[in-house]
Amino acid sequence: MENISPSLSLSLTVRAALESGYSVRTGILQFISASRDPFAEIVGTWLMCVDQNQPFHFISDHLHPCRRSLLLLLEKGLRGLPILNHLVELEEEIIQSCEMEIEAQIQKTPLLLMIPVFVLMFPAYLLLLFGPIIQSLLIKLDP
Amino acid sequence: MFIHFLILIFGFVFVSRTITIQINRKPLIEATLQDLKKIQWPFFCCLTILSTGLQPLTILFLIFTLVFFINHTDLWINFILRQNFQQLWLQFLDELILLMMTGRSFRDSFLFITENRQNLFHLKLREILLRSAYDQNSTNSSHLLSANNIFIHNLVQSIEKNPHKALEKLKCHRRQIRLNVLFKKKSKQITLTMRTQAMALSLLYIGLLIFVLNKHSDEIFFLKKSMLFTSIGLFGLGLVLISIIGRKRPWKT
Repeated sequence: MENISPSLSLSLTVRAALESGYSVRTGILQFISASRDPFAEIVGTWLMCVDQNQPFHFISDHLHPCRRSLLLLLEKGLRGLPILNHLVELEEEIIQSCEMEIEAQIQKTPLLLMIPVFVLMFPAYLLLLFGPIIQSLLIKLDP
Repeated sequence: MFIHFLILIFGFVFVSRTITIQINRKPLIEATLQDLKKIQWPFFCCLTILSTGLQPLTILFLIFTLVFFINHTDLWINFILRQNFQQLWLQFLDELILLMMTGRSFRDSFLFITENRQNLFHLKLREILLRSAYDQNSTNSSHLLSANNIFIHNLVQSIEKNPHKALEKLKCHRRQIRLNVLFKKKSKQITLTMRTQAMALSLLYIGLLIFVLNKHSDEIFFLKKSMLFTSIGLFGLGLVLISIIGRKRPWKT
């Protein structure tokens, strides 16, 4: 989770294209060519379905609601409807969703860290500290 | 001796970083600095042998350092330089947008900012702008530029092709970079806790290991090494698990 979310990246690229006077398609193609994320491949397949007037719900149904909404909005844009204002609003929503995802991850991390520390590292410390003592005790107790 | 080696490595990595940064800042003495960079590792070897003597441990240390460190120092120095580039580029964009809002054209504002600055970043920007003017009619010379410069070169060319939307394009580009920086900063918080904890635990463990080895060096502990190896194995496994948990996670959003 080091870089920007792919859905936010797609939204920003399309918005930049629209604000520079290019079409929605140009923005989407720019995103597909620049991104290495698996989502770019999904967008490529989705674009092919839209171009061939085929249903694409099998692609978007299992996606995150933000990604699904973005694809639905972009489909409207590809059909020729004005989407810039809606895109700006959706972008805000995506940013909030990304922030919430990061917050959830930050809260979850300390709990996940407990597992290796208590299960593996703490016994390793104990073994190192008390190992020699226990070993010498066992040898002394051995008849 | 271990601490001695650590200090030596830290010192030379620091020198290497300083030289690389100076190469990027002062192009006029680049050749001299490049020469200096070439001799720093032989110098490092000589200094290590002089300070610790020609022992088997020193030779092992030097082999390890030369194999693993030379390429890696360049990698992380380049990482630092990339971070600096993003900061400088954002500052430059702020200045450029402000000037364009006063009514100046893109080219005029660009030249105005880069005119009186003598550092390499601004000199390169000026060169890219001048080059882009020739490139519009001739073959693309982007193969002569680095990745960051190609990116600026393409941006400048796209703005010069459609100058009526220059300000909107730059603002949009700046917003993209700012969002990128913001999310990188936030997502780094996740891994930072893990890295710090893993580092602190490792240092504590190494300290404890050295202490135990010193204290029980002549005792029965060494007759049965299984306990020691089990402890090291468990700790190593813990570190591996921490690194797996701290790995990059794909975005759901």
